[in-house]
Amino acid sequence: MPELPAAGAEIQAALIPAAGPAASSTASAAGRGGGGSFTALLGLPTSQAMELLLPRAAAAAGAAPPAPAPAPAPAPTFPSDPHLVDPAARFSAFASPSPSSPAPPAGKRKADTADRATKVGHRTPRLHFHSLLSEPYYHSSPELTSDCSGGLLTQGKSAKKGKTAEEKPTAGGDGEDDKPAYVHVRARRGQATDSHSLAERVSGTALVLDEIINHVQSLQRQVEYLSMRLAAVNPRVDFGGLDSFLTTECGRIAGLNCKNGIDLEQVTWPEMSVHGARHLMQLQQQFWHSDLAHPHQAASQWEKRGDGHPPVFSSSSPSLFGYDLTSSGKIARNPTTPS
Amino acid sequence: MYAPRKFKKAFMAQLLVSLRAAGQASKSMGLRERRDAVRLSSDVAMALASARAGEAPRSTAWARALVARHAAERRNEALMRRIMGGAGYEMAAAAARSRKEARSRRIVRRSRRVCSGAERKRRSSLTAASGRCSAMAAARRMVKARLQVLRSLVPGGEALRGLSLLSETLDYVVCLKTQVELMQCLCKGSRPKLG
Repeated sequence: MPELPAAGAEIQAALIPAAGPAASSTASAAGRGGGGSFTALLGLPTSQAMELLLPRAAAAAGAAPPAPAPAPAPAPTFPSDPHLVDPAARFSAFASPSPSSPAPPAGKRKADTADRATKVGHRTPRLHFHSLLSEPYYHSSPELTSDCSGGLLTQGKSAKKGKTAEEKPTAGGDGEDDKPAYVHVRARRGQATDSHSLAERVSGTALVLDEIINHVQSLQRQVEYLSMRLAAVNPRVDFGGLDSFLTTECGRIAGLNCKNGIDLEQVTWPEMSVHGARHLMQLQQQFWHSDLAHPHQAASQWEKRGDGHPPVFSSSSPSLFGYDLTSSGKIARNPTTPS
Repeated sequence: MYAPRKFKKAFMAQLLVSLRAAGQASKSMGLRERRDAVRLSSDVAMALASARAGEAPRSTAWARALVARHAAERRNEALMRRIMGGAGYEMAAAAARSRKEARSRRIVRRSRRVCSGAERKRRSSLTAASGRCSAMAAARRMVKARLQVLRSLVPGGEALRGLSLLSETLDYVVCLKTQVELMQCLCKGSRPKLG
């Protein structure tokens, strides 16, 4: 990636001189970014984001709490450009005093994108959370859970080693087992056993978690407010007549059919009718199956109840589930459990 | 927006279906009930769309927990039957019941562990509370407290640990954002347009 060496030079330039006026301008830009400070960080280019990570600027940026917005204020913008976030996340690992060689460890780290998600670097908690978010949506979670949990759990139990060239897992103060669910943080070279740096790192994690919590709460409040509004707008919650109008209108607003040659409306309803009741049954079985395979559950419960209940339907004609499910009782009795 | 387009479409379609079903169920309800009906239908839509538009291991824990939470209340039963079909509702009710049992079992287990581990912890905390480790211990307590709050926020989060909790949170946040966007669209769309 051509951005790497250029950004590396910028970081060295940024770290060595104390950039006073630049920090204030970026701090104001962070304030303008709206929402949480960590999302504002990503509105800036890489070099300015690095400057923000210096301690005084980080203190200023961290002091701006994200305001919960029940009013239709814009939610904090998540980064839409993974290429901006990725080099920023990589370089954030080197913000602290080791300006000697940002390049070769960066080359090493290009490979393990999955590991980066759990590293909370020294003084750089925010960008690491965004490396978590920058992963493409559907590919991240299985890799994350399997790779990181496996890797970290084995490394968490290893003995304390001397300073190696690799990154070290934190073993300081951790004779504890995994029963209390800690988020394991990984140390960088030379900093694993320093108790003060560990404490700082853990509190950095706490800050990130705080922002996550605020964001989730604000989103949930927005959902509640919007549902109240929707309920107030329609005296009867009756969207029957507005169907075509709404789908085209909202399709355009939400950017749903910008790149398709086909109209949204034509695609959606034939899709639904083609799926049919059988797929829906399979889908719902799949939906609940992995939950019911859990050891706590009595898996026979739903098998007993899965047949023999005549479904109760409304008689609305274009309803997705309404038209065919009288025959689905037979389909549901097939003992096909999709993997 | 980095939620895939298929998900948005599936969600929107499902949302319209659910809302229409809700409209038939709630002929004469007050504002609060209607709001709850809207909320329920959109949550169920979100959960079902997330399961449909994803690839194989996509039935996420929060989706199941969310639907189970709605199914646990008796007054939602009719509406949910309409939306998900009777068989789907039965599965949801079964999941809700088993979740309740699991939760009570976990509470009992945790209280037992606390009672037995209390003396051991008191002894070890006296030795470890030197000046160096106390900062770390305080920070760890902060992290633990926040993880607890996050668990209470994300549906189905009590059973999750560490990394899977974060992964579920990530998923949930993306879906919540989509939900907010779509509902804003509906709001805008159903506002009477001035000529």
